[in-house]
This record gives sequence, C-alpha cells and structure tokens, in this order.
Amino acid sequence: MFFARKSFQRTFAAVAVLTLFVIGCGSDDPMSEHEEHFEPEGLVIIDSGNRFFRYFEGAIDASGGRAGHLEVPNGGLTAKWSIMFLDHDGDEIAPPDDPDDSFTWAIADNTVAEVHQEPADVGKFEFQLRGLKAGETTIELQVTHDDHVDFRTIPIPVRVVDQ
Amino acid sequence: MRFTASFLVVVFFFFAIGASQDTRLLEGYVFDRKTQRAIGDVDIKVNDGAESTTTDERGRFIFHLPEGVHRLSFFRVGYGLVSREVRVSGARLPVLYVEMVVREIVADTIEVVAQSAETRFEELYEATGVLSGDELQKKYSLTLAETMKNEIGVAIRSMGPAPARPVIRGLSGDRVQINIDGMETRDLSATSADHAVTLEPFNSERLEIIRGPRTLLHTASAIGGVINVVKQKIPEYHPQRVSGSVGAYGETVNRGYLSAAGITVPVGPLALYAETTYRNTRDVQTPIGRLVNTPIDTRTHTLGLSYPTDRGYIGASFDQFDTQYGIPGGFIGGHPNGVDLDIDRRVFDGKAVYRFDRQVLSSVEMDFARTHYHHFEYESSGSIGSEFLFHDYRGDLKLLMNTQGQMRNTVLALDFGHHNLKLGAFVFTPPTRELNASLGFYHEFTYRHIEFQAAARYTYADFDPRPRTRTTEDLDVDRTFHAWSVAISPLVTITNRLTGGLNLSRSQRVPTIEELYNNGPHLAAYTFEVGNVDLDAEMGLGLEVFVHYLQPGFDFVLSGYWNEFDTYIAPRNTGEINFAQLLPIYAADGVAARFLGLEMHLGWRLNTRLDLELNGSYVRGENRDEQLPLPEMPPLKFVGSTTYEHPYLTVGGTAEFVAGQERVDIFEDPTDGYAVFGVYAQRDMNTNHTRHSIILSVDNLLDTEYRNHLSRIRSVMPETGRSVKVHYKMSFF
Repeated sequence: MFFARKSFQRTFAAVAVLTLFVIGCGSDDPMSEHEEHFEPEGLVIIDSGNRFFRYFEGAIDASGGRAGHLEVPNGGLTAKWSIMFLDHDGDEIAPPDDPDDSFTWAIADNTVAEVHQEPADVGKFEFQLRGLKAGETTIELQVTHDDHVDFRTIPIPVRVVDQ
Repeated sequence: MRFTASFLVVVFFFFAIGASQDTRLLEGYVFDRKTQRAIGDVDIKVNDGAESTTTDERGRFIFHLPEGVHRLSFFRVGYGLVSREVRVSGARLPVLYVEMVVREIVADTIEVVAQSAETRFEELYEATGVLSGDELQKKYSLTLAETMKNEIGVAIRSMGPAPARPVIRGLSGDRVQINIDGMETRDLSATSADHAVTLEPFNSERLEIIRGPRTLLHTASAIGGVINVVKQKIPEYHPQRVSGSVGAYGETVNRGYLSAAGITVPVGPLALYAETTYRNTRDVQTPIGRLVNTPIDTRTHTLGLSYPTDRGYIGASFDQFDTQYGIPGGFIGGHPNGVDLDIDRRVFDGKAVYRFDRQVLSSVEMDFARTHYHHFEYESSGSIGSEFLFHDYRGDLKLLMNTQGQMRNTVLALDFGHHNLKLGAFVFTPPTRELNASLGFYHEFTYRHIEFQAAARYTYADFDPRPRTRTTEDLDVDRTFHAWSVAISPLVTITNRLTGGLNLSRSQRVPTIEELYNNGPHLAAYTFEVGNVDLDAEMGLGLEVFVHYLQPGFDFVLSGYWNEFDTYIAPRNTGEINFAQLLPIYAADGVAARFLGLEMHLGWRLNTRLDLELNGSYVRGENRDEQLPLPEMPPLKFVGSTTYEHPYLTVGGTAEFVAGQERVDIFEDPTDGYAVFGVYAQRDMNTNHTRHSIILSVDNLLDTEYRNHLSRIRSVMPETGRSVKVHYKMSFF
C-alpha cells in the first residue's frame, strides 16, 4: 500500500510537470507573412497623358500650373484618371503589380463625392470621381497590401462644383 | 531542447520524492487580538533560542521540529510577550494561531528602535521600496504601474490605460526590469509604449523595488531598477491545510471588474497552487469625455506544483496571460479609430532550491523558464497590422554562501538566455535570435562598522538577425557585446538613529533587438521606428548619496543622485515624417545624457492610530550633446497620505501634487501641473479560519482634468476622472 501510494505520487508529479510544460508551448511561426512592401513617397494623377496633379513627400505640388485640388462636376463623372507613383527622388514608378496590392481610398464626406470604378478596374490604379452634391470634402488615396495600408496620401481637397 | 528540459525536471522530481523527513512541520499565524490583523516581523524563538524565525507579512511562520515538547516565545516591539507550549508527536500537527496584545510604550523611559530587518540596508529598502500586505491591497489598481505610481521615484509611461509601465527615476524601457518571483518577465512591454506588461498584480503578496548593487544579480543595468513581484507560484513550503483567497474588484471610471481566486492545497508530500483571474473593463471616462477604444479583457491562469522538504523544494509552474485591449486614436500619427491588440503569453517555470549545512555553501537555487509570447496588432477593420512572436529560454543558477559572520550574504549567479523573435505582417524589423549569458557576483560585508554591498556582472550577448525581405537586407549585421557592470554601496551608522550612505556604479547595458534592428512602421505605437545597428552598449556612471533617520514612529529618507551616460539610447522623435505611411520617425541613438534627481520619504506615526506619509521626487534629464532636455521626463511630484486606524475601520486620504513640465525636447509639448485627491476606507473581519477585507475608495475625488507628461495620448485626452472603487478579498487558511 505504501509503495503503491509513493508510486502514485511520483506518477502524479511527473505527469503534472510534463503537462505544465506541454501546455506552455505554442505555435512556432507567425500567422502572417513577413513580405516586401511598396513604399513610394508620392504620386501623380494623369488625365489623358496630362499630369495635372502631383503629391510628393506629404505636400501637394501645385507649381507649374498643376491643380491644388481635385475638381468634380456635380451630378457627373470626371474622366478616367490613372495614377503613377513617385520614388524618393521624385522619379515616376509604375503601380505595384503584386495581386496583393490594391488601390483603396477614404473620403471624409461620402455625401459630397464618391469613387467610381468599372468592375474590371476594381483594385487597379485607375478611377473616376462622381460629384453627389456641390461642396467640399477630402480624399485619401491609398495602396493597400492585403489588409493594411502601405502608402497613404494626406487628405486631398475635392471640390464638387455645379457645371 | 524541450525533451531535455522536461526530462531533467522529471528526474529532479523523482529524486526529490525519494527524500525522507525526520521532523514535523509546524505552521502558524500571529494576529493582533484587537484588530485581528496579521502581524509581520514577530520574532519567534523555540526553546529559548535553539531555533528562531520571524513571521512574514501575513503573520505566517513555520518550524521543522523533532518529536517532543517545545516552548515557543513570541516577541514584537509594541506587544506583550506570548509563550506557547507545543507537543510534537507522530500525528499531523494542527495549524497554530497566536494572538498578541498591544502593550503601550512610554517613550520617555523606554527607547525601542525597531530592527526587524537584518541590516540597515534592509531597513532602508523596507522604508522606500516595498509594498505588501494591507498597503498593497489599498493601493491595488488596474495595472502594476498604477499600483506603484505613488512609490518614491516612480512615474507611469502610458498610451491608454492598458499598456502602462513603471518608470523609475526617469529611466524606462529595458532599464526597469520586471520580475515575477525573481525571474524576469519576458514580454515586449519594455520595447514600445503600446505594449502591455503581462502581469496581473491582484494576487501578488509583495512588490519590491530593488536598487543599488543588488540589481546586478538580475540585470546589467545598475542604474535604473528591478521591480520584483512576489507571487509564490511554486510553493516554497508544504501547507498543512488548504488555504487561499477569493477576491473581486470593481471601478466606475471604466465600468470594470475583476474576479480572482487562488488556492494552495497539500497533495500528499506535494504542494499544489492554482490561481485564476478575469478582468473586463470598458472605455475609460475622463473629465471631458470618454476615451474611445480603451477596453481591456484579460484572463490569467496559474498552476504550480512543488515538493517542499526540510532542505528546500523543487517545483514547476505554468502561467498563462491572455489579454485584448485597445489603443485610442485621434492624435497626430494615430489611426482615427485606434488599434486593437491581442497578447497571449505562456510561461513554463521550473525551480529547485537546496539548502546545505555547510560553512561555505549555504544553498543552491536553480530556475528555468520557457516563455511563449504571441502578439497581434489589428487595424479597426480587423486586419493584422503587426505580429510579434517569440520563444524565450532563460536559466538561472545561484550559489549562496553562508550568511554568518562578516560575510552575511554572498551570491554567485550564472544566467543564460536564448531569445528567438519572429515578426509578421507590416513590421520591417528582421527576425532575430539573441543569445546571452552573464556571470554576477554579489557580496555584503562589514568593515570598521561600515556595511558594504558590492556587486559585479559580466554580460555576453550575441544578436543574429535573419532578414527575409529586400527592404531589411541592410540590417543583416551580427552584433556581439561584452558588457561589464560594477557597483558598491557603503552604509555608515552615524548614530543609533541616523545612517548615511553612497551608491557608486558603473553600468553597461546591452541594446535591445528593437534598438538595433527596428526599421519600419509600428501600427499601434503610431510611429515609424528606426534602430541603429552601430549602437554601442549604453554606458553610465551613477552616484547616489542618501541619509536615513529612523526612530520609533518616525523615519525619514533623503537621497540625491547623479547619473551620467556616455551613450544613452533612446528612441527620439526626429521631427521627420515617413512619407509612405505619414508616421513620425523615431530613431534610436546614443547621446550623452545626465540625470540629476532628489527623492525624499517621510513616515510619521503621530500616535497608535494616526500615520502620516510624504514622498517626493524630482529628476532633471539633459541631452548633453545638444544641450536640450531629455524627452518624457517626469515632473516634480509630492504624494502625501494619512491613515487613521480604528479597531473596526481604517480610513485615509491621499493627495498628489505634480508640477508642470516645462523642460521639454524639441518636438515635445509642455504639460501643466495638477493636484488630485483620493480617500479610502477599509474594514477587516476575521473568523477562526477566514479573513474578509473590503476597501472602498474614491480616486480623483474632485474630477480634476489633468494630463500625465509621460502619456503618449495626452494631446487628445486627460487622465481618468473620478472613480469609485470597491475591493474585496476573502482569505481562508
């Protein structure tokens, strides 16, 4: 009986310690991948070859006759605009071609303007703006990698004007 | 590695269980007859001094006695002498309960200087660096940092309520190490303001701030400090019966509550400890509105098992800390809706202590801990923005020399650690492995009536980054460090009541992985963090002068310090912006820095019922390279408190006076001063085997709007408003 009790205590202690150790373990690798990211420092918006808007290193560059804001017709659509990005030296670089990178945006007041993309253009770096009512709002243009934003502009002024 | 560790632990257990017992364990508790409060520091002698011990803060004591009749004598300053006869036989001994009665001391004729501590150094630490018993229960708050905020020289770095972390003498991050039961708590709280300390303080027995040469037994950073939280996850003694506690806590400022239960059970010759806590809080209310996205949901579970013997103990524990909390947004660089964090930390800890009957080596302590840490930062859309994962192995071997004669305490400590950090999602720091080892030596001795503490520590650290992306390939720079730290502290007894001393230290701290290799956005910190692979070890020289006056019912401590760093490593706002994410860039750099500070503590027992206490601290940090103030320096602070103890009720109040901080770094805003007040009442009820304690308190009584200079979100919201707190704890034994 005595030996049986000792044996039980040893077994209990050993099993308990092993259990504590095993439940102290966890997964060995991160759930999300550590990947390359697209990190431009600016962009230009192009309308039929005309680089009418330039944003670089946190500021809108309205020099050389470029616009300081985006103008949208009330009740109508702008032309289809495309985006090229700028690197650290201000040189143009093409939008990312990684399927995990997509074009996203955030509009401060969605009752003033909205982004329109043809179904085939969703995720691509081309877009139109539609004016919903006369007034002003802002749009933040973004490059989203999976679920997080790799690049974002400052809020860019948007003016919806009656034609 | 896992197999080897578990095999060793199992082998230890089998050997330990085979050991024999020649004596019987006598366990007991000492209480004040009138107030029924536990009495600590009661000197107990067996058979007129053949053996002796003192009670801990719970009034608990134990003896290992051979069979026969023994006389126990209980002494405590301010109480009458109590004697008890105990018959020890083969039968199991009941727990002994002893009540002591207060005896008035006439100060004019009898002078008694309480010297419960073994040395003057310990008296000083007890006065300025320990929080335990009722005092700890009264000051208990949401986090460890909040609980300790009014201790001398302590401030809080925060970014919302959850990730608060203590700052000592203006030093933060890795310079303030947080231990549980002597072993470093491995988490990421030291590396960034948004990371929480993974520790629930509710069931702590004691919080200690370790300063001076003793810090070198734990860390190479002698300038700064170590906060040790005593929980006894692995029971050191065999309990004679089931004991434990059940508690609850609630506060109105965040409509939060906590429930907790802990129990220690004898299982044959083994001792089993189990503890669980659950905390849930909602958004914090401030005097000007709700601080959005600041809820906390935390669960902790602890299970410990040990085999205590006359010669020591061997045991293991498992500890899980699982928390989800929010970081508010709305300030510069912040996400409008804030960020959510989810942290899961699991620790396996194995510990063994063996005491010898030898002149030279008195005991050996071994500790091994494995930590699994997984941390996610989510954007408001629910997507993962950052992910941190590490596995950490830490081992510690301590040899304690005999505590007799002039060499009272001598410790030789050997530590090793292996840390494997992996990252995911939008974090640019490369995965890195760190290997470190250190050898520490600590010695207490007396020379011509001067008590000395001296310590030295050598640290080896090797960093091996393994970049996996093109963006981080420049960071593939291995670094190896050899760091030396030494400290000595002489203490002179000037009169029976007055002691004076110095702390001298030369400290080298090895940079962290983040300080070396960071290079990218940190979602919840709202910063773009840049490390520096060329950093040298942080080198500092420290000088502290202090005096301690102690007489019955009155003690006063005054200290001044001067810490000089050649290379003080701090992430500093560069004023630049990362143009991809529009985040402010914080770069780690080593600058020449100077910290000058003053601290004081005054404790005054006006009569047997009324106590007054006043703590004050001031630190002035300067970047000597640029002749600028250092960022995030705590302003001048005084905390006064008073306690009135009636036999049935204890009531008290606190007042915190903080000056404005005008000395700020280039990209830092000044903060106004403030005064906040609080009151509390405590009622204890005791039965034969239970003790009930209920504390009702009101913090920020006047609902004052104030801002903490060390809060990263002070630009958007002040600190919490008026809060009513209820704290209940039932202990059974």
